[in-house]
Amino acid sequence: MFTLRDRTAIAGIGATEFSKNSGRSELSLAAEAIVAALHDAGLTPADVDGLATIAVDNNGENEVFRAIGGKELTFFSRISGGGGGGAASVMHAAMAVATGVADCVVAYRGMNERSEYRYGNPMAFTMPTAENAIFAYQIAQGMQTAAAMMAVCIRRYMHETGARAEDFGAVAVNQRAFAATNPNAFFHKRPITLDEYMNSRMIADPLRLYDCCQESDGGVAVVVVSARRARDLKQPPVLIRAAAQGSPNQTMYLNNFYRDDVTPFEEAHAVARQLYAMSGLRPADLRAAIIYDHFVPSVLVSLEAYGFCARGEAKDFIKDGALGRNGRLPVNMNGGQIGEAYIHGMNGITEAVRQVRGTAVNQIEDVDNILATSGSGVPTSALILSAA
Amino acid sequence: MGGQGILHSYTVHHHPPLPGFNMPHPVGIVTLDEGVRFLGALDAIALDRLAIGMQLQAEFLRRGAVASVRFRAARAA
Repeated sequence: MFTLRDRTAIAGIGATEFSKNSGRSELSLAAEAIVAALHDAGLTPADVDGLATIAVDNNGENEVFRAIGGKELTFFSRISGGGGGGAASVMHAAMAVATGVADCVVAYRGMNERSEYRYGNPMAFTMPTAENAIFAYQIAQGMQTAAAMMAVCIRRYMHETGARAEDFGAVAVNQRAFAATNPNAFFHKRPITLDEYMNSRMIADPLRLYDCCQESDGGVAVVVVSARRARDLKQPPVLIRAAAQGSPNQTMYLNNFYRDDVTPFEEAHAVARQLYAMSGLRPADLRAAIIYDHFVPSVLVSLEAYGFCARGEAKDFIKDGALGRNGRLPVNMNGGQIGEAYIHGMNGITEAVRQVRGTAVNQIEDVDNILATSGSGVPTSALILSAA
Repeated sequence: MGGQGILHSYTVHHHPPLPGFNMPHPVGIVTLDEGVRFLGALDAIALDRLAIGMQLQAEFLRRGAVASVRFRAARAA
């Protein structure tokens, strides 16, 4: 049977600086990140014949291709939605390369999400899609932000598992400690204490300010080629050991209110099942993980969904610095999206690549296999990356 | 539909301000007695009374020019 396992590799990564006001267009951010990623790989825009991104990226593939000076695209693909699709854009790149549709596909994301619009703002009804019709009803009831939707799901998680604000705070403090020693992080040199976390203002109870990912400007890109070709390029290949998407029945966009389990578990669990089957690995084989932190408490749910601990036990799993530099499962070593930047998880994927290469600023020893997930509580995706 | 149900989960929205609502604004999901999950505002309930599992009753109201529905605490039987 055909499998995607180990057929392709990430040969290059690139990014702009992460800021609150980039001072240039989203197209510039995407193009700069792509050119940087190609340079990292030892390739040029002329080598690119495929592009992939997520549907909410405002940069059309053809415009991006014009901007970088490409020759001919034979593959371009967009993943529905937003934060659940970052890993899937890499997966689609891998699928295109593995099937011979394209030879060199760049997954990219470029956004001025802080300076030109803000995802934290109340939602406004726009196009009359099925999803927006549901959101319009929520808007009329006074539920208008991603934080409020996730807050409902997380309060239920706390009720069912006994997880407390202090447990979420421990994860936030850990990630801000990683960010503090990452010069590329917006919160470089700005760690927080548990007291500061507990005293940060409520956004949507039980979610506090320091539970919420940042709003960021920036661009990130990832170059995917065949594993064979990657061996001859500039960087040590980082194999795409496994990749999967998941959207079980009753999955909605953060507002998973109409099923038995409203916690952001099912989508991640569906992806996890596929990843372990494809990779032949178990959770214990993963040396570290990038776990999507649109909101910090979702990290605990994902630890359970990806099988690092049993359901309801993440609050115990994370104790004693388990997610830290010397812990049993270091998580979000770039500081995550609360600490480094929120580029829809694409910056987490590049961190996973650096960890496998051994070039991260907060490098964990001997990262042979690493998990990188996209947003939970929405149709989602994830990768397992491995050393060649 | 009788409009009765149990509060399954909720949030109290603090920030950013929402046009047309007083802050902070409670809103949650209710499992109606008929078995259906229903989302509704909870701003008829004092914040310190909100609790998962509490019995609720739907009520109708106007919000601006629009007819709307929300939940209040059910009176003890």
